[in-house]
Amino acid sequence: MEFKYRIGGKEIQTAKAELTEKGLSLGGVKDVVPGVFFGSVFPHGPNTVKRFSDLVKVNKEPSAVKAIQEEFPQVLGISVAENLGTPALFATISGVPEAKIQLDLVSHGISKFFGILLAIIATPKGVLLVDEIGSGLHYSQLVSIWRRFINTAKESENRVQLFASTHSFECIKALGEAVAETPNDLRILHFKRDNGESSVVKFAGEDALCAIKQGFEVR
Amino acid sequence: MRDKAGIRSQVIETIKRFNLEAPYLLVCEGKADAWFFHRLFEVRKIESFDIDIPLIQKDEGRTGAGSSCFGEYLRGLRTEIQLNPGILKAIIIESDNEADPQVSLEDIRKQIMDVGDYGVPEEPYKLVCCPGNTIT
Repeated sequence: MEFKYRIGGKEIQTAKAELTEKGLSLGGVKDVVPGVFFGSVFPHGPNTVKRFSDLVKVNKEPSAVKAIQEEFPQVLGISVAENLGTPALFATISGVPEAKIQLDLVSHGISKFFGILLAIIATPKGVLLVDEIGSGLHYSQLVSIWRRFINTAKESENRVQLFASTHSFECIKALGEAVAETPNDLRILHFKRDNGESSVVKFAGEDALCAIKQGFEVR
Repeated sequence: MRDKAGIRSQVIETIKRFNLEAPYLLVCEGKADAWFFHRLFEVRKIESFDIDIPLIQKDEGRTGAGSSCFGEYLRGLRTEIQLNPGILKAIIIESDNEADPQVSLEDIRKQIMDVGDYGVPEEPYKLVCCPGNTIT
């Protein structure tokens, strides 16, 4: 199996995946791109806590905290604290002055939003792969959250490419609204399987946006 | 037995969204037109058409009917054609004349031209090919 790819407009590179006696081998890779993968089941893992801690150490956490406050006004602040011997993210929640609540327990959606946002910030010039990005996120906030992810990924100090999968047309429709002014930010890769053969159909830019706006099936 | 309104809403529901199955696609300006043609094809036992309407994006300040969205519709339709290649042979666009038939025609012609890849009729009822194709 061969993967052909191009980084930053440079010449096309070919990586070869081969099954050897020692296992799966990937050869021919010259430039390695940092990447993060989020599965569809989304526990608030230690990597997210580490990413936040790393931001705190260089005084760069305020922008991330501001983002979560803007999207979810009930969150007043985020901090790291130990929970049963393991560091975890805790949130100060409006109306609950007596204690901070572990972010995982506040809301799956908020926790997921923050995890992805931190991964974007922590993976400059990298790639983020998010499976079922819309799950757990409230439908009414999808447009705003897409915009936040896309704008953060496009910031000059980040330059992250975001790959997200979804089976939800609601989620795709929200993406369409989020990129309505910048359709060239949009690529849809539609995976299909016919008679056991898999293939990918690509829709890009204005065509993809129009397909979403006109309700065509692109999932 | 369902009442007329019940049947109507059901039919309109089935008009949107579809996978291309028929060789011909009739794109109507609005739901009422689509409903009329749906019933006409049903009575005449014409089964070789899919019927669809462009969705109007109300928040973009467009006025009038779906005729202002034919271009956007045709652009989006390309994804459907890519996903289901070799099925669609021809598209008929149905639109009202409004106050001035020539103005209406020119508006739709311009929308088709702006999308590209589709044949652009010079006059109503004129069958034209996509660039590079021939009528058989």
